[in-house]
Amino acid sequence: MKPQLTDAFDRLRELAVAFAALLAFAFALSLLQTLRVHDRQLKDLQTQADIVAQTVSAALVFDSRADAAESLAALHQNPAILHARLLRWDGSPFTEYARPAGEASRLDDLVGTAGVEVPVRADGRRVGTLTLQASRLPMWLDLAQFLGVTLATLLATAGLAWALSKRLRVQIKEVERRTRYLARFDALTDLPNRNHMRRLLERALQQDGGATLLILDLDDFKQINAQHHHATGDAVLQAVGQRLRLLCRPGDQVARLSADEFAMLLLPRLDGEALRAHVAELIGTLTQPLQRDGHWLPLHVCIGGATLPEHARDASEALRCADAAMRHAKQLGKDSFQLFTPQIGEALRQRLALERDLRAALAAGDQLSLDYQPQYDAQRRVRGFEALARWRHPERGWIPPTEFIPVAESSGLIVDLGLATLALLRRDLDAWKARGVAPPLVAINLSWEQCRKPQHRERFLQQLKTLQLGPAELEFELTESASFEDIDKPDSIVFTLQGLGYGLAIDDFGTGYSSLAYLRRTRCRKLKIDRLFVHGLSASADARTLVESMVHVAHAMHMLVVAEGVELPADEAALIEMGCDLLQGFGFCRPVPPDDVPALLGSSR
Amino acid sequence: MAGGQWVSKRAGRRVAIAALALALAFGPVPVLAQRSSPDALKAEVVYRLMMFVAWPAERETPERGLQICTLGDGSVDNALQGLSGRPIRQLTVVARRLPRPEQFAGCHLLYVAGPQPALRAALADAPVLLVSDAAGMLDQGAMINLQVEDGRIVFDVELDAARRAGLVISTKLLRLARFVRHQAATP
Repeated sequence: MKPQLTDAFDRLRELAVAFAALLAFAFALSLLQTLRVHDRQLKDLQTQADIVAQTVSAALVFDSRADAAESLAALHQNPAILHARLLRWDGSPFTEYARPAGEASRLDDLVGTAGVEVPVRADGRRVGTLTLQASRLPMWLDLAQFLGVTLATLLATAGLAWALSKRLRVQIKEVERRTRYLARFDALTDLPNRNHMRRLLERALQQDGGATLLILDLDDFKQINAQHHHATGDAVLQAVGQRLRLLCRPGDQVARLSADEFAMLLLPRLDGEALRAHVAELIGTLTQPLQRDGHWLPLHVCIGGATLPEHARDASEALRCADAAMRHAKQLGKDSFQLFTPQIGEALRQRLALERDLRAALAAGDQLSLDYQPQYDAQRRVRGFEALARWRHPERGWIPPTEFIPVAESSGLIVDLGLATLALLRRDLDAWKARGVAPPLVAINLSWEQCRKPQHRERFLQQLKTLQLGPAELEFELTESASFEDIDKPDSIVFTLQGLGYGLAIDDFGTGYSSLAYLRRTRCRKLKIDRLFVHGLSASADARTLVESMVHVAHAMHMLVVAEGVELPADEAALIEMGCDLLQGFGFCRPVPPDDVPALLGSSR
Repeated sequence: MAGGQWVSKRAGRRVAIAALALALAFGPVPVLAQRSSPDALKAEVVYRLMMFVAWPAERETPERGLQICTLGDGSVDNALQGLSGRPIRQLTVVARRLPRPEQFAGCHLLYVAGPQPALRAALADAPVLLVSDAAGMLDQGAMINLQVEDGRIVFDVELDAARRAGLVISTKLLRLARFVRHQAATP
C-alpha cells in the first residue's frame, strides 16, 4: 500500500509541477502579448487620430463645424472609440463626438480607456488639437482570446505528450513493481527469498510463542541438473515449491534460500512428536517421484530444524543453526531430519573456528605446506608426484585434510588455498632445483569451487603465469570432476587449461557421478582409479574384472591409468599384469615432505 | 447648417463660414476682426484657400514668393493688397496690381471682379489660379468663385479648369466647397 501511495503522491507532484510550468509559460507569453497589444492599440489609435486630424484640418481652417462633426462621426466605425474632441489652436472646444451611451457597455468602464492627443495641422501650422479616448475592452478581449488559445494549445500538447508517454509510464511502473518483487521474491518459484525470510524470522522472534524454522535441501539436485536439461531442474524446483506451499498450515511461511535449499517457518511452533509427525508428512509428500518428459525423477530431501528463540536469537543465527542441523541430517542419509542440538552447535562452532583459523593460516603463510606422494611405473621408478596440502595448526598440530578441505570449500577459502598451494609448489620446485634435482610432473588437485566464478578463474590463471608454473612442471587432477558445470562452454576452465598445454587427470574415477560420456568429452590425459576398487582386487574376481575393463576403456581412449591406494604386493602384481601404467599408494611410499623428495628420486634411479 | 444647404450634382458639398468665427479660428494669422466687411473676409478666405492649392514645383520659389495679382480698384482688390507679407508654406505672399491685364506673367493668383474674355484667351492654360466673386464666373474661366449665402462666404470650384492649368486643389478644400464642377472622367 505504502509504495502505491508514494507513487500517487509523486505522480501528483509531477503533474502539479508540469501545470505550474505551463501556467508560468502562458503567463509570460501573455505578459509579452499584453505589452505588444497595448502598444499596438496605442499605435492604431494614433494612426486613426492622425488620419482624422488630416481630414478635419480644412474644416478647422474654414470654421466648418458641420464638416468637422461629420468627419468625427466616421469614428463610429471603430467600436473601441468612446469619445473624440476637436479643439481650436487656443484650446477652446470646436466639436466633439461621443459614442451613444447605450453602446458603451459597463465592461468599458471597468477596463479603463486609452487616450491619444494629436495636433491638427494645416499648411505646416498647428490649427488645433484632436483627442481620442478608446476603450481598452477590445485589447483585453484580444488578450483573453490569446490566453485562451495559448492555454488550450499548451494543454492539448501536454495532453498529447501525456497520452503518448502512457505506455512508457506503464512500462516503468511494471519495472518498478518487478524490482520490488525481485528484492523479496524468487522469480522461479514465486516464493519469498532469503532476505524476505530473514525479515519474517525477525518478526517471528519479536512475537511471543516462538517458531520453528526448517531448512530443506534437495539431495542429488546437481545430478538432476547434470543428467537432464536445466529446464528439468527448474521444473523440479517449481514442483517442490508448489508442494511446500500446499503443505503450509495457516501462518506458516515458505521461502527459497538458494539453488536447492528451501526454508519453512512454522508458526505457531511445533515441538517433539508433533514436529516429527509434521516433518514425516513433509518428507512423505516431497519425496514422491516427479514425472517429467516421460521420466520419473526420484526426489530426496534432508531437513534440518531449529527452534526459536531457544536455539537462536536473531535471523542469521536461526538460519545458521537450521543449516548446520540440515548438514548433519545429510550425513545421516537420504530423506532424514535432524533438529538442532547443542552438539551440532558445538560442531558448528568448531567448524566456524576452523574456518577462522584457516583464514589466519592463509594470511600467516607458514602453517601450510605440501607433501608429495610419488607415482611409480611397473619398474618401480618414480614417474610423478601428487601434491597434497598439509596444515599445521599452531595449537592443534596437524589437521587432516579431510577436516579442513571441506571447510575451505564451503567457506570459499578454497580459492585462496588453491593459490597458496601453487606458491608452495613454486617454492619447493625452486628448492629442488637449487639442489640439482629435476623432479617429474607434479599433480595438483583442482576443484570446481576454485574456479566457479570467472574472477576466481582469472586469478588462478594469473597466479600460474606469475609463478611461471608451466605444463612441464605441473598437471591438474580434477576432483569431483562431474561438478565442473561449465564443461560445455568454450571458456570452461578444463578446456582453457588444456589449451595452455596442461595435462589433466580425472581423480577418483568410479565414485561420485563420473560417467563414460564425461570421459569422452573432457579428453583428459590420465584416469585415476579410486582406491575403493583397487584395494584387495587380487582377491576378488569381480573387482578384478571391473578394474580391468576400466583400464581397457582408458587405453582405448588413449589415457594413462593410475591406480590409487595400492598397498598389497598381490594387488600391485595384478595391476601391472592388467597394463596399469602408474601406481601410487602406501604400499610404495607414503606422502613425503619436500625435503625427502630428492632422496626418493635418487633411490629410484 | 440651417438654410445653407446646397447639394451639387456630383460633389455634394456645402460649407458655411461665419464671418466672425473666421477671424477667431485662425490664431497664428493676423486677426482681421476689426475689418469685418464682407470684402475683407473674402480676402481672408482667399488667403486660406491658397494654403490648399499647390502650383507646379518650378513656380513655387522662395525668391518670388506667391504673387496675388489684382486688376481693378475695387474694395476686394484693395483688401487683397493687405495680404502682402503673410506666409504660406515657406513662401511669402506678394500682392500687386497689374497695370495691364496681359502682364499676368509671374502671377500665382489672379483676382477678377467680372468677366474678362480677352484675358481668358491670353491666359489659356497658364498656371494661374483665377479667383472671382461674381455670379456665373465659373463659366467665365474662374476656378474658384466666392459667393455670399445666408450671410456666409461659400465657394464653388471649377476643378477641370484648375487641373488644365496644372494646379492641384487639395481634396480637403474640395470637401468644403459648396459646388465642385468636374466634367472630366474620374481622375
